Amino acid sequence: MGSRTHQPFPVALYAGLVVALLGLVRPGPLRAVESVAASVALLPLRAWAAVVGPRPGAAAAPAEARELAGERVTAALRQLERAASRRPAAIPVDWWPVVARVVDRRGPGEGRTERLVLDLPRAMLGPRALDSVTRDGTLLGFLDPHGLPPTDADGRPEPLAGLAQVRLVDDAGGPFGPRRVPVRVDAGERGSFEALVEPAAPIDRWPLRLAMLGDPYLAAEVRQGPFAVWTSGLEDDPLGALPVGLRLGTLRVFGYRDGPERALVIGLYVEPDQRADALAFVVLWVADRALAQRAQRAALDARPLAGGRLDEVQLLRLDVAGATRERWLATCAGAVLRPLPRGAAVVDGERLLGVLDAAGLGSGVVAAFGQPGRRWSLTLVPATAERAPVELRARCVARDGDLVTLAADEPPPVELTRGAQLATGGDGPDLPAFVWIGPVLATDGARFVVRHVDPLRQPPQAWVHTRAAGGAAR
Amino acid sequence: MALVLWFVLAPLWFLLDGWLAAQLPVRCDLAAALCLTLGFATRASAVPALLACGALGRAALEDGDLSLHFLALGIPVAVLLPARSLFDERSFVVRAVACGALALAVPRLTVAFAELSGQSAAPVSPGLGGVLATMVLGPLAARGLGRLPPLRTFRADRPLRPGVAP
Repeated sequence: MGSRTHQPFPVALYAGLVVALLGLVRPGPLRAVESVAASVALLPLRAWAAVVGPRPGAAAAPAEARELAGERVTAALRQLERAASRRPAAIPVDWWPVVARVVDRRGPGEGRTERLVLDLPRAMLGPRALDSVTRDGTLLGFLDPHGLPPTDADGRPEPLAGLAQVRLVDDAGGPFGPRRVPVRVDAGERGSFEALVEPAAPIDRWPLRLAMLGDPYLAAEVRQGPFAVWTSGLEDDPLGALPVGLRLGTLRVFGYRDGPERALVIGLYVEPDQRADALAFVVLWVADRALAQRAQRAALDARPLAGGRLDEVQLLRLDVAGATRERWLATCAGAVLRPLPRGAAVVDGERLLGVLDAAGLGSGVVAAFGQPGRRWSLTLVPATAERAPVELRARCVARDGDLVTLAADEPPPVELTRGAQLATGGDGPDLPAFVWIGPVLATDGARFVVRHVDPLRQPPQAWVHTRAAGGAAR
Repeated sequence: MALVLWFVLAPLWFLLDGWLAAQLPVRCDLAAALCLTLGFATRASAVPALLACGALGRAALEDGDLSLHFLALGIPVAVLLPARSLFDERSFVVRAVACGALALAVPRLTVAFAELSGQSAAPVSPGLGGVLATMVLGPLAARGLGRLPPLRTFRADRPLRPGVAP
């Protein structure tokens, strides 16, 4: 019998699979290689696009519609600024609000955000900023005393260096470990008890847990709320003063239920009122009115795409298999080697068309908004000026022509969705919040239908938005 | 040189997959055909590089990054490679059954790894028609892919199975 001519167990392939598994968990180092390789692999398609691809034509949405959308978005931003900056009773009157846009959310993985990067240089605020960061009277986290460092944990240059950063209450990885928050829990008729709130374990159902209970006997008797959890403050807190009376969230009981009145409590948790992975804006507090006004002007421009770079691209439709069905090859109309970042917004004026899914030098592949399976951070702008915009996370379920069906993680109130407009909620530095998507047409519980122009109908004029380099966007 | 050619042609293979899906009433999964070619008809030493090119082509056009597609395509190939020693990989029946299994496995692995890593991927069910179409057309597509340049350069010599004379 002759020798075998193939290797039955290919070790190199198995090693490749292990590397891919590591790349799945920690994608950073492979992303740069993938970007360059994708640029080269897309060269034949670029050549094809140069021969047969469409030239930029008339915009698919009428100019009046885009102008109207721009006005609505500007008005909505002002609504949000007014609503978000209402002073909670816990904040002293000599502190002034600064509404800041969230430019990036960071954490150990999808669905778990521990830090928010704000579109505001940290140096601008100086030492006269309160370290508690709020939104609608709720404590979200603490302002980092320093801006983002010039390099990240892997030693690569940090594109958002110098920007202010908020460590959420559930961030366990701060420079001094987690910051525990003293709280008071209103347990209904049974009275109230004091406790400390600290980050929960990743396996826990809620991100915060109660520890060091002031009255363990009362805590053991607590039933499922809803009971509010408020900051209580400590005298001589070594980490700085904490406003008393800010809401933190809702008490949640984890344990065994034994009838309506009995339960074996295993743990007490806090569910935050605000979902950090949906937040597009937060409120900082500054002890100087003039500084607050200056910072506010720098932090919140009415035009979400202002200050960034817009590269004109040509789009070529590509049929792809799977649920997505189609993609668009975007080719830079000007500089052929312009680096286009993954995750950048592809826009037509003020309107979102999609996002760059695979990107490289001078070209990329665009996933249009509405392709099934993709999750988005969104902002719902109510029709009435009295209601403030609401941020939410939603997954695209289906697309039928111009109509996109989305399923929200938490159903938005029906009165908010009626006649509302949908805009982005920000997904990374190059896809800012408040880029217009389209009007909401119908709602059914957590599902709602949005009219979004079908790029298939007419190849639109498109631009790729890239955030300006450096800490200050504008 | 053949590897470089496959590097730039791999996205076109998945574009062809999408074009056929748009034209035909049922979908023949060409990703399954690629896995079959790499698993049954390619030299084992060349598989990792060819697979990386294929995964990159798929990542450029569909949801998910390179690692995700390398795993979604590579795990079935890693199962098929040792199976060469057990089955007659030239048999149409073996190839058809393998294609059917791949048509079910590759989309599920893609979605599973996407959920694991928090990436976007819509669940796709090939359906009975899709599985049958892949069982019939997949082996033919795999044979064509393996015999045409550039992958013909990497064709495996016929392996020896127990009981088969050299």
